[in-house]
Amino acid sequence: MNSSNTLPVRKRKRRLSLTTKKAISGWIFVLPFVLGIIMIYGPIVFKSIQISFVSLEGTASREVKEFIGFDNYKRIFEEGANFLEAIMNGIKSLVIQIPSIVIFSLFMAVILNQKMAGRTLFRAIFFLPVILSTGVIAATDASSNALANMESGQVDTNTGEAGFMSSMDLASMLGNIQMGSALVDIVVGLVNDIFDIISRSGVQMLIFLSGLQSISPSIYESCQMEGASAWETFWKITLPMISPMILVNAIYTVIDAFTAPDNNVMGYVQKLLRGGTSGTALGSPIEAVQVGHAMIWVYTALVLVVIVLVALIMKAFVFYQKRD
Amino acid sequence: MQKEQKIRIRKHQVVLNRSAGGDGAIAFFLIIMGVFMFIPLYYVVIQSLKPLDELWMFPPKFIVQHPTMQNFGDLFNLLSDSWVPFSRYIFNTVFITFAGTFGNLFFSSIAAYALAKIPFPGRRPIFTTIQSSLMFTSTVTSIANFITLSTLGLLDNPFAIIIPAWGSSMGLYLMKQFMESSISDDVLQSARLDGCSELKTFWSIAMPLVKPGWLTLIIYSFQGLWNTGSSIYIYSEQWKTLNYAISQITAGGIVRAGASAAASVIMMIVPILVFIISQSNIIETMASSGMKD
Repeated sequence: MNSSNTLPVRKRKRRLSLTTKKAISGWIFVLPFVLGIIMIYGPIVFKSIQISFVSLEGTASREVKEFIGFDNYKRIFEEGANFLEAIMNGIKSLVIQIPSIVIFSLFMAVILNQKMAGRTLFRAIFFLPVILSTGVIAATDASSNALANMESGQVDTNTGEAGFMSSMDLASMLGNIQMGSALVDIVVGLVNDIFDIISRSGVQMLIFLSGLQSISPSIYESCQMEGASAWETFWKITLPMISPMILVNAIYTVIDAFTAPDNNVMGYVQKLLRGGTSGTALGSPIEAVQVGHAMIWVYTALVLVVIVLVALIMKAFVFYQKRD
Repeated sequence: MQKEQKIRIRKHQVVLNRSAGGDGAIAFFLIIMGVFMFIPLYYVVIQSLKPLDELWMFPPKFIVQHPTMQNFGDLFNLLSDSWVPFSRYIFNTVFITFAGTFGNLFFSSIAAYALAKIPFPGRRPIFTTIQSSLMFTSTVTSIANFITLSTLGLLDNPFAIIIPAWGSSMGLYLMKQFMESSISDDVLQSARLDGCSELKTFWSIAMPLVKPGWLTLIIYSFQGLWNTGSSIYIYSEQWKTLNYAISQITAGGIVRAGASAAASVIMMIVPILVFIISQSNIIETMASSGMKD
């Protein structure tokens, strides 16, 4: 490895201080990533914000734009009461989902981190929902799911990959044993919720697992020597050491929930961005695009508020291995 | 706390102080949950082995009466009729997945290292910006992204997918947390004192210490890119992906149900193998050790 590549400053006569050298290498290291972000996201953000403030009406080429201030944002409140309600519902359900997903995945990770026969196999099994829920496989599942429901004469309202197991087998099974339909709905709903949480914990579990693996075994060994029980070791060692990953997972969960393609708000915004006006009071596809862009920014702002809140709450508990 | 010292040793290693009953309960729980999670996979595999008449039985059977490889044969027959040679789709997907994953790994790690471990002016605003960009997923940005990529001249070639993958903020965020939580500043300091350049410190000190972190990132990124389907950025057939080719087949509807079940199995095997290989590569690292405090 050629060190002169990274520190060209060395060749100069005037010697730079250590802090300056560090600063320069720091900048060089982040530069590719920052440039990438600016190049890829910069124009997108600019364009989208621009559209949200202008009227595209009567401009076929979308070149000539008329600045109309916050009108597009005002229209959200006029047309899209459902939109705001959907966001609020999303945030409400997150209040329950974040803790349950984080706790469940941490629990699984701690269990799967122990030495035991076939642990890689078990890990793979618990990561399966992540693999199963992407791409072709999800599509296949959904179609077989719909078909099964069609044949059993039941209309499944909880579509999506999470409903695969429960709605397909459980609902028809319960239907067969003549349970009341209200009761079936409750049971299926509950199982779907649990299954939803489990199937959305795959990545979080994996992150926790790697977090656990970077805790030094010698710390555990010394705990053994002092006679700490597994329970005490968990609360006194594992939890503080894993706390940075709890923050990552909480934020990942928020992002995952808000940006999933099957998210209601996402679907609605996407429809508007493609110029779809059905189900809205918007006059033309062009208006839909404008309001859609305004909605993206309202949505992004709200989600960022949630992320900052989560980060602030978690920060209080995070322990970093740092001493300066 | 005065307790009777009972150290349990299994395979020359001390195990946690837990009763045998506790072990049993955990094993029981794991097996129950494992079976529960395994059923969907089992079901997909079973579906791919069923002959057509068994596929549409209701209620669906969890046992195949006459297992057959017919579906896989059908799948390959269908694939060999495709516009471009089937190997081309495989090459495209493999290329996109590898270039995307390793580029993402490298750029995220090196940036994360700088953000976490090198104090330089401006790192806070940079990190805040990157954190905010976590929100920009392909769903929201697809149209504007199209314009950007076309200005950069990257449309209709695999880099339209690979380059945005390099800028995945989630990878950077993950790596930064790993760097912060499991690398002690003292280790880096002593490397620097011994005359190690910043790049070498990153490559030979920091990266081995966060091996679990980047193995996770590989799995995460791999399994996202592997499933890259039809994309609006790529329109010529020669750069389409495997996922796209297979989804064309499954789009055939009920008649193709057997072939599409076989396709699911094939698409699934690779990410599962990557997961298993990288997970069995993780050995307990000595991350936070090596320092006597």
